[in-house]
Amino acid sequence: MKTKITPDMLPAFQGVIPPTLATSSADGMPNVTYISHVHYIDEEHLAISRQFFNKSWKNIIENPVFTVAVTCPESFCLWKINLKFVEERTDGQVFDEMDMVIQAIASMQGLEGIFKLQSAVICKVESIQTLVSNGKIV
Amino acid sequence: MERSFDHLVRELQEEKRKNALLQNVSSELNELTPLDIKLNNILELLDKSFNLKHSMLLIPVKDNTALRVIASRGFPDSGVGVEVPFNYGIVGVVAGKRKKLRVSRLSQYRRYAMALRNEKGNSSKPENLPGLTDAESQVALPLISNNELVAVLSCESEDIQFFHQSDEDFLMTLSQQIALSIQNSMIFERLEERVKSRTAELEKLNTTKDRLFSIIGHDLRSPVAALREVAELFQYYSNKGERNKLVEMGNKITHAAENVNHLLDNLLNWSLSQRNGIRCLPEKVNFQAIINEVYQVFKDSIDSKEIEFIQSVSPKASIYADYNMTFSILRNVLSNAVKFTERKGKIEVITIDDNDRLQIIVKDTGIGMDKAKIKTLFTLQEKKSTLGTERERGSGLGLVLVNEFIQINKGSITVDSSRDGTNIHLFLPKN
Repeated sequence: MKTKITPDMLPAFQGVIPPTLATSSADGMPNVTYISHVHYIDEEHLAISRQFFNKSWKNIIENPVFTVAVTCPESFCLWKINLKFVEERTDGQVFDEMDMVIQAIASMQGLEGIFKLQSAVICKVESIQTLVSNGKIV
Repeated sequence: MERSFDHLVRELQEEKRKNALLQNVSSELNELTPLDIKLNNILELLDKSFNLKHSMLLIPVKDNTALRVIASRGFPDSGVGVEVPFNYGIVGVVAGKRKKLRVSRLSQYRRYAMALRNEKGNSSKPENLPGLTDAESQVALPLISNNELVAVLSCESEDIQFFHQSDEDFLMTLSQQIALSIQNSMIFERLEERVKSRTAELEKLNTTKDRLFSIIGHDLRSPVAALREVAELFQYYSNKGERNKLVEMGNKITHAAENVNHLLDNLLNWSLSQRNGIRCLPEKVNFQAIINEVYQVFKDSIDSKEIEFIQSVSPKASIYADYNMTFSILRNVLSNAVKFTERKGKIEVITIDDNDRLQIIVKDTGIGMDKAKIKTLFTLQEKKSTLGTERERGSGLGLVLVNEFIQINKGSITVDSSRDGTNIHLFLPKN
């Protein structure tokens, strides 16, 4: 099991195939949801955009360990990444980069201020498990 | 082991491809070509080298508050000239933040935002930017040179995953070079424009200079020659002792000398005005007084052509203008009227109050002019001057000077003419 994101995984962070996010409350009630995309920061860090995200966010605060499953749209490899919540950011480079996409879409639809990024949820990569590789379940 | 070897070979090939590309792109970008050609070349290059089929370049306008499309490729509608505000849409946000942006799964975002919009009842008018109706991915890059946003490059695709990350990084490294190249072309174009306008200015000055020499060489020569002939005749009759003839010739000499004087005055005034060496000292001028003075200059000619001269001038009418320039204006206009009015014709000078200006109409029953002729009145060109009804000569300088002096005195001039005569309308400020 690897602990760092490798270059072959990068296409999975373009948001082509929506990733799934699985969190759990403190008393063990799971919650699984699709999210628009996972933002790549560096080989040990990822960010998730917090727009609406209510139940997942509540769970992350209570229980900061969770997983995200991402798919490479080129090779269809599937990885399960175990994450640990680090901090919530409302400014800085990562936040700006994520916010630009939201702003671009929102401005075109007349939704400035409604459809907006609340924060960037910064996570540390704990471990990565390959679930599907070369078309085969591992 | 085998796998890593394959991998290395692939990487090496990829690097070679990029190197070759970089060389091509560099040589293309380094060429100094006019802006529109340069922009189209860049888009073509991106198409051929990176398979970017639908692209556009936008430049910041209106003090960096909007972007304007200046070139596009591969869209149903070229959209050149369309503007979007900064921070509007993907290109607007890229311009505002000066950072690259790549968005995939656009259709999903569109649906997502649409659902929200229906819920919140909000709407915004979409701009007519060139674009694919069902674009799935878009990449926009800010092109920055010398810390200045030169342009935004935007590429779209209907493909959900186009443009590999490595291509994007490669293009980012190229973007500075593209920016610099566009900036150079813009500077080049501005320089070209300046050269053009300076050339036009110089050509105009050159024509003016040529005309000046021609006037001095030709138009000034004939009245002086005429004067010399008269002087020779004067000597001839004087030797023969024919007193009657001598008295008769006195008038002719005066007239010829006045002609030369008038032309010299015009030439001097005009050359001064061309070198901005003439001073305009506006003062309150009583119109009746000045027109009477001008009339005295032409009294003999008017009488000899038996022209009826009528003044419909209010005694109180006045203008605020330079006295000498006004005199020159009126003398030239009246000189033309006398020159082109047939024997026993009529010239009338009328003043009309026109708010803060005085309208002066010099009306004659002369031979008139056609529209083509009127167009040339205020320009200096070869063989413009027309002979008068009794073959009076001119230089074509008179009305050019009138127009210059009218402008300097913040007035205006219009001309209407038919076969029944010509009306010159002069407008000069009253205060």
